Amino acid sequence: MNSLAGFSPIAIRNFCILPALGLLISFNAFPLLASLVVSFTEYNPIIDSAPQYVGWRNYLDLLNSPRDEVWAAFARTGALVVFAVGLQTVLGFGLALLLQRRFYGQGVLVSLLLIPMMLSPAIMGSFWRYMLNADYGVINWLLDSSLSWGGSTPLAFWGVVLAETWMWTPFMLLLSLAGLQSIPPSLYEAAAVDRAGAWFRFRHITLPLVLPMLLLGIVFRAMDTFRLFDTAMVMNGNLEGQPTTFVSVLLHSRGFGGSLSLGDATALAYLLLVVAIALSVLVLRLLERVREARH
Amino acid sequence: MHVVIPLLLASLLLSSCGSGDRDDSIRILWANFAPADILSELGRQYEQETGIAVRVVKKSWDGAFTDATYAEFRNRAQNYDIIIGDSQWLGLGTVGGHYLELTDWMHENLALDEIEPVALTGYSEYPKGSGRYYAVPCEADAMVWAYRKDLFEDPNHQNAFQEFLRQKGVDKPFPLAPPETWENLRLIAAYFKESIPGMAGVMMVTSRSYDMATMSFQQILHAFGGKFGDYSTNEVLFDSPETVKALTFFSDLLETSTPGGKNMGYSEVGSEYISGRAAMVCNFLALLPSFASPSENPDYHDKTGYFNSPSHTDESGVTRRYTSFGGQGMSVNAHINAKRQGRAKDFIKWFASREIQRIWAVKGGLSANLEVLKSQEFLDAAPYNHLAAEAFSLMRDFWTVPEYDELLKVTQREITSVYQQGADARDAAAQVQKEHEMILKRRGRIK
Amino acid sequence: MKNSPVGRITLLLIYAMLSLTPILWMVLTAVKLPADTVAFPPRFVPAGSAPEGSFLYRFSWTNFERLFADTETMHYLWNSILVASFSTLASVAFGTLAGYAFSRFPFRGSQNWLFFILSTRMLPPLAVAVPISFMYSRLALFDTRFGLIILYTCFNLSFSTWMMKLFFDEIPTDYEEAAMLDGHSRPSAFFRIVLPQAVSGLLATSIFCLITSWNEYSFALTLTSTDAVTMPVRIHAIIGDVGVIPWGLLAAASLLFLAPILIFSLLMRKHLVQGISFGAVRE
Repeated sequence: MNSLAGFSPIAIRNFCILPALGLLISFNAFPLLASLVVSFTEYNPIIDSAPQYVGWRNYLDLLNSPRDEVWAAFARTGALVVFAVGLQTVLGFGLALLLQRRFYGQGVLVSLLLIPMMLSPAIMGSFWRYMLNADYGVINWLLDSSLSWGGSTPLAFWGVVLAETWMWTPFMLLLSLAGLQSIPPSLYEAAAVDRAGAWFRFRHITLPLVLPMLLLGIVFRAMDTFRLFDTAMVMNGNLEGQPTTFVSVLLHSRGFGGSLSLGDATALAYLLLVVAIALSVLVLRLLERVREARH
Repeated sequence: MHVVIPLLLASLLLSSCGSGDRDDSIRILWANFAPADILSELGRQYEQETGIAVRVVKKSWDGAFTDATYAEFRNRAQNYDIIIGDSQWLGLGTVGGHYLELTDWMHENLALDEIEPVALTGYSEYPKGSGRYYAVPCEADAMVWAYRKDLFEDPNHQNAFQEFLRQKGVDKPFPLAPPETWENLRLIAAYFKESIPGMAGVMMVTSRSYDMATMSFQQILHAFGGKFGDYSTNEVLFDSPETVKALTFFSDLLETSTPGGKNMGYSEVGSEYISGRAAMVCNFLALLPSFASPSENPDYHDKTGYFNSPSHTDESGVTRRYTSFGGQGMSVNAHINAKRQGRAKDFIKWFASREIQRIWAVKGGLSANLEVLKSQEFLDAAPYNHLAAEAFSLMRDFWTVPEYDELLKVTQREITSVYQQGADARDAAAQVQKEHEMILKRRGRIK
Repeated sequence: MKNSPVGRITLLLIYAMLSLTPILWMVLTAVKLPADTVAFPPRFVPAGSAPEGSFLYRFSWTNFERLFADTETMHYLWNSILVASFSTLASVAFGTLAGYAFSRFPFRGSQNWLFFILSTRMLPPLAVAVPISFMYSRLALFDTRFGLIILYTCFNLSFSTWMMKLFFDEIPTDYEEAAMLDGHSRPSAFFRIVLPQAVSGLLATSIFCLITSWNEYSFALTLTSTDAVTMPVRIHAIIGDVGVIPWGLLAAASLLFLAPILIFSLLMRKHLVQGISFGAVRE
């Protein structure tokens, strides 16, 4: 490949890649690395003039936090991933099965079903808080109950699960539908000739062929849910020790605010990063596999 | 994309102009509530008189106000000339070096003897008792009660209430009227809860967010003889039989509320009241304009009465009566240059003058100026203003040390655990005591 | 699969109705007076008056009037518009260049760089926000629109690079090589030959970047305080405006903010699947 206007391919390549890499390195990688230093200090920039080196203390404090707050936050986050993503998957896949055969008006219906996932989670979360109000919320009226969905009650957790499921079921629906529509109709025709039952067709044709897409969707949602902040924050605040104090929420309460302790917060951020990176390796593997299978 | 690109270029041009007025105007950071609107109005008057523009930036109480202030402190920023910070922030702003010391300037330029002494100490002095001032009282504020006059004055309810008292075996019956004591308040609340379906006896600020539950609770705490600590020596004195009694009483009182009543924010209390679901509500004076406003409270604005927090008499016969310290003082940002500081001080001097304080109070602000509080004009300006003078003399505050936020978080968690999760009041008091001592020791405030 | 389409469609319609209830409720709430937003049982029939215990409420445009008169909220809306459009433009531009280079000039270690680029997308925003807030205050980028634009650009850049690389991979290199033999320079071949074929990819990528930065909350909450606040942060803060909670105002502001992105993304629906699966699926 020869260049004609005096640019060598390498020069062009560098010109194209360097802005992107430069931005990502200076605004993502660099601050993260720099904050590694802060995680070994005690530092509240509001009242202290300089950080004080404290060794591993911040990390040890996190692992032995009072009331096991850090572990509890990880456990709550795990529970949220299981319940919210589980519900989204079941509902999304179920709806996709109902949509598998085309019918008149399907396009419009799918468009309507997709609406929740395009809206701002922070704004819809604020509105869910209104609808879930204990005294005048429309949900309590529909359920004919007077349940309290906020604060320290265990229901606060389920409020977030509800809002997240409402918002992200369309995502699983979309991915499941794409998987279903890629199944060649000839397979079902062959099964019909063999007089295979509905369960047999589902178990041996539908499920195996949709599975890679379904898994991809689940891992995407798991990762997003793992770092969930906005919905939980707007629905129930950033207080510690509540059923909605997920890891990112805890990080916000430690890293911003009057009693902020940057050393503590950056140490927690690193703990979170380790898990996030492990999850993202998983995502990338699956992405590769799905892509290879479909090309 | 063909449409989008020219649009974006046009917006780039537009956005590059404007917003360069930061250097010739006074920028004030405050919360988004009625008093800030009144200050904006006064600011326009100041601009007419002096040619210097005043811009009040209003941030929401639900996090945004604290976030903006902490960001200003953290970054040692110069976005604001004046910060009208909450009274508890005084230690943080002072010890961190973010508030300019005003002691000498205040002695020279303000008539300090005209200011309600409780307010002057609370909003201005740090450490307490040191005589050093870092703020000028701006919006003085205390917790008071609003009640449904139409229900209280209904003869059917008055008769039924006496019957209710007999059933409960109350030996000293009292009329259905604004209560004198906390125990009477609880009985009235219980009556309305029982007699009207869906009605709450009381609605108080009870959320774990920020300082909410603590603000409601500390009036009962102090009336029952308990205290958080000795603010001059920083000794923690929370764990006491009085505290446990107060906490148990608070929890019992909230049983007369609604399911949502145990997790209420400041504005949520207002929302409940205008919906007609509460017989008595407790909130800060500064939030009451909505209650009296025909547009915000169309159904009950003219059926509302107001009273100051009641008292409590303990076994030894000592009667105590307190309310919660709210409100904010005006501080000068220590990080701006001397010229801007001078301009900010000029504005504060103007604002604190008796003439402007009078206008401030008539328009709906709450002045700490004793002369203004006494004036007939002020008393006539709003239906709850007659409470202010007495309420300001009854105020007691939470800790104001730089660690107030950590102390507050512990207090909030433990108080709410009693009535939200049924935790034992004794355990909660002991836990607060333990953690408060730990926090203050770690930071070297006590040995 | 022998069940009748009527049964399936009924089930689907029921779910669609449930799923749209919050939006409908938002529309009804936006034209209520504060007192009617907190009534119980809830009132859902707009009318002239609201007798006690009925489902009728007082229809009113007050919230929209208040909203448009509120210069501060309008300023935040403007912030959202600027930040979302510029960051989308920048991330698509840089991502297209980088995607093209990764597609046409693979080099030793380019897979690793691609992995690095994608992994930045997976970082929890809060873990990044803590060190960034510290860095921004030193660089005077805290609470500036420019600071947010940079950060949103970075956040979307990984996505746009990855997506555009996949699109360029599918465009045969023969075309541009032929063009270059005809005397075009590589930049000119890129703009005249390659880019026009990647328009659908550009669209899919842009929509996604736009939705993401329009809705973003974590960075906007932690890295702004006054001047650069965006609408999602402002709208949530409306709950804390004191006196009484202006739920109607919150609903009105939400509708104003959600409507454009909703219409836009419904029009571009066919590109959505590609976007959310990081290009793994094509329709």
